[in-house]
Amino acid sequence: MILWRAGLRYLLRHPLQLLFAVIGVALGVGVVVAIDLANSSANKAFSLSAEAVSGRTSHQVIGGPAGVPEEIYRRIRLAPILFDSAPVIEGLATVTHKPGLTLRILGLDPFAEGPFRDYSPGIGRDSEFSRLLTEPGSIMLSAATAGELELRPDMQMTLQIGGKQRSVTLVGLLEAPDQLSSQALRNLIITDIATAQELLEQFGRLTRIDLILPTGAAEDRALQQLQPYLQPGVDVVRADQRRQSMAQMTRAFQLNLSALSMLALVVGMFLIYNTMTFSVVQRRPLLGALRTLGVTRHEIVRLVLVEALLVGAAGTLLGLLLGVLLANGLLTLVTRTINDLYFVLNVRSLSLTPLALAKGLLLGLGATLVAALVPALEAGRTAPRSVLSRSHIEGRGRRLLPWAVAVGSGLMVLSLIGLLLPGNSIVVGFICMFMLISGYALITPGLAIWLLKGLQAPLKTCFGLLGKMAVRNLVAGLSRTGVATAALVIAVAATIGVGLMISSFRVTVDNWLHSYLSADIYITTQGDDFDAGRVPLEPELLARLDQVAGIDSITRARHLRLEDAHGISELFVAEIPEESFAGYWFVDGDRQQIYREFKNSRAVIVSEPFAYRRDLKRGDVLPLRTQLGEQEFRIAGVFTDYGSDQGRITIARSLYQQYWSAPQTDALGIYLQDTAETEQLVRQLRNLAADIQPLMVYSNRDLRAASLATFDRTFAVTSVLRILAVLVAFVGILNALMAMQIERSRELAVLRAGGLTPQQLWLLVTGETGLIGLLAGLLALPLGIAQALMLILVINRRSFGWSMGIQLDPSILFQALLLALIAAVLAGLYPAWRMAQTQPAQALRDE
Amino acid sequence: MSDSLVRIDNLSKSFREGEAVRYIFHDLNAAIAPGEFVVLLGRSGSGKSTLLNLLSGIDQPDRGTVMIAGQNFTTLSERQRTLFRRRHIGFIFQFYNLIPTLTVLENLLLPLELIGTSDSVARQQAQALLDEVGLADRADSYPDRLSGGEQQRVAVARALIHRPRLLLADEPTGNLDAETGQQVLNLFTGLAQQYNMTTLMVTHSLEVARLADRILTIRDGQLFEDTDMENRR
Repeated sequence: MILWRAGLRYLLRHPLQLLFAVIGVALGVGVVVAIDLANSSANKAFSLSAEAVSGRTSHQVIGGPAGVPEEIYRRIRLAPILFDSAPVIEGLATVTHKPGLTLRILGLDPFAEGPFRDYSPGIGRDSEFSRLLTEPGSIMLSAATAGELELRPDMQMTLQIGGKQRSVTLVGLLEAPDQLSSQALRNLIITDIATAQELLEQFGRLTRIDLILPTGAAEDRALQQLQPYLQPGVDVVRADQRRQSMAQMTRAFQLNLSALSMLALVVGMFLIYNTMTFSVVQRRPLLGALRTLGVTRHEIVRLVLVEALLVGAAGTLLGLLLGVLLANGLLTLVTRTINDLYFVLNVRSLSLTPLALAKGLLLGLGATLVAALVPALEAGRTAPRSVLSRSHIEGRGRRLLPWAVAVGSGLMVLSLIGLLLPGNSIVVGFICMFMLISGYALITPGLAIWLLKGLQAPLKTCFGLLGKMAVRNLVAGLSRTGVATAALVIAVAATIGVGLMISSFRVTVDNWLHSYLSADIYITTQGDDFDAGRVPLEPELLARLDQVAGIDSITRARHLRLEDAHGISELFVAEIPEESFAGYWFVDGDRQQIYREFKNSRAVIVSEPFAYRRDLKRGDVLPLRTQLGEQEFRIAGVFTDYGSDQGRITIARSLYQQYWSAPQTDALGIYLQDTAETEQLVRQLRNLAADIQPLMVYSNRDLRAASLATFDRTFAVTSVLRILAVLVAFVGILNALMAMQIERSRELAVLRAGGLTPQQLWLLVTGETGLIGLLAGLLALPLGIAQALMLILVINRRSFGWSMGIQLDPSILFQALLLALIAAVLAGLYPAWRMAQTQPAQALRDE
Repeated sequence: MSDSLVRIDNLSKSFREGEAVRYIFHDLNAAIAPGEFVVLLGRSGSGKSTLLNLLSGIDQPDRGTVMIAGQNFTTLSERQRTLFRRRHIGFIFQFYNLIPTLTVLENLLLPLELIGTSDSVARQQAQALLDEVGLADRADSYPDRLSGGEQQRVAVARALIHRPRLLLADEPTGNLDAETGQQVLNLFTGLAQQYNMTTLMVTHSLEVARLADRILTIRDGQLFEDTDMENRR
């Protein structure tokens, strides 16, 4: 295998180039694998916890915001129906001695549990069963969770539930029948239904009733049989449908992460492409000699592909390792975002599935092969002549240029057409974005030459002949500079696109918060905004507030959840004075008219993501399940809301009262008199509530800051991806330019022999690389901005239903330009230093 | 003519240079008998190297035919030409064109490997030939460690190692000093005779031309045979 040896040794003789290519693949694969692992671990944790909670349940009886009246369960239980049913109460609690840990409380009826969940305590199965029923505050945990909480049976712990402290006693440990159940049981508190009602203060109400109904035709019969026992506002849904709609919530978020990670891989692919193209261009005389000796085209193609595959394999293996390490960090960020935006999810460990690793392996090797295919075919086309002249190669490159520009422009136009077509597919959005990137990459060499020619005269004026030479070298070496510049442009543009999207979003959210938050002080009870079982404010506190001086007016609000076949939505029951209503941004319609409708008729206003997800607009009718049965509400207006991507329905307090019950209050907006001092009143209100219930009291400014902090937390993972893309870009720039300069050793040696001083050589080499960096930075700006526009106007809109303003933050554009320039100049330093150190004669001989 | 190893009929070749077309030669006709040593003379740019490229099948003519050992090159596919070349043609260049990532020995093994010679036999042959060209002690060196003369001796050995029927040499001594050039030439002609190979050598050197059986000259796109051999000698 002498031929293979020739190829392999070529790689080994260019260790820096090899190293950078391997690092490029490794970073690309690492980012994709890390995101994939973090996503799949979060999904696995979700499905395990959903499985743990629902067990063999086929259907669920669900109610309105307040849950299902207990009476319904009693009726179903006593009815002559032949299927199993079990009541469930669900809620969340934190543990006083383990800050940051959230446990899920699952209140069950041990008498009814048998057919539903294997691990739940049933009659005769556990000796702790009677204690669970008879002793108030008794709970059970899995051995692992108990161990983590340092609890043994008969020990007590204090839980924080809705801002109140509750003491519970561990009466026994749950035995998981298998490994899967054991994982699912983590962070789950199992208790009797009565204890759960007491802990969560849901007296007389259930979260839902689980059912096991027959399948097929019998299912419809069973559902019909059930109907008489239900009441308005209570419905039966399929358990898997409910689970799916929960999982669906995070789909867009995870898809976005995956696509952004793919961007890193695309940049990595360009790196490989660049490396392999370069190694082919560089070896043209060698390949020509091999062809003269009788090596066939196929053998040459195979040689280059195998070389690429070796680089890809090394990079992929390193990338898998990097991916696993990175995934541990990203998992925390992904979970935190899911917790902030969607639902409480505890993910303890990374699930390293062979599938995820195999996907990474396939992707890394596949991307390498795809990227290396063009240079390999190009190598195969090498004419078998002793030495092919550079002018011939460059001439062909130049002849291909118009084609590249034409195909590139075509791809960009196609991308635009794809975006203008009706439809909301996120995948199509991403395909269009990748088409735009590829198209732009193809026209980059043409644009680069055009810009360079323009620079020739000014550079000659500034730097004399050396300046002119630098430009001409780049123009003349299109086969080398074209691909490198395109690779750099893609890499730098990716960082611009994501950076501008995040900053635009942040500015929009900040402006929105300024407008939306109109009260001076906000008070809420503790707990997640729209989680079931949020504790209401004590009436005594409300009475005390009336006595406080300096308050002009108070508005009351209640956060509730509404569940239906479409999934879970947030129901915000609020008193909104007209002045505050002015802070709402409406997508269309006259604000005053919307307000009149909202205030005086059977109408609600819905958030933009809600309207987007359900394909609703102003004037449409929205059916809601009320305590008087399903009722239709007119949509008075669609408002901008960045608080959640699940969607929010805001309803006037008085209207809610008509169709449900008198709402409690869990949040207050306090408007102060002009003379009042906000910070002083915040302190006063905190003291006022201290002996009644724990509250969160925020000044308008603090709440805005806290909201922006949540925003930053949510986008932390995106920012990390951006930094990784910057890193890949940096390595790419170094790789491409350093290789280009090292390859020119002979040419530089000739210049040195001709009288160029080491200083002049430094200037020439770093000038050339700097020029490419500057060029790549400049050319990346339009693509980066276009990518940002696509992310803002298409991807975010299709994924989350958010529309946002576009902010072209100059600092991000400047950073990108600087990144390209610094990396490019750095890339020139080593070859310049090497050439300045080497005797020209030595360099000439080595070549 | 029918027993010739190389025969070209009405061979024409041109190159595009931008919009213009440059004609290298028109309707060349020639034949070389087996074992003959033919030298090709001509000015720079007259088309000598182009003719060698056409004879080796690494380039295609505009018109005409190239027959090597009864095989019409112009009717063969690119792959068939490559397979023919690896077995029957040896090539020596002015600038050696050794594979820099292979050792001297491996450079010699490569053509043998391409035609499927077993490893042990190939090694024996390569070692023996290296011994003949006086470079047995440099077998494990890489080409860039060798002098110009040594590199060209390796190139000669590489061109001969698989006993090709036709040896094409493009100014093999053009890059060497007179003494080294002479040594390489002696080695080259000696080995070609020893293996009874047909040789076509491009050169500018009349010294070299004197050693040839026949001299062909390309001038103004035409091929002329120098019949005044005695005077040259």
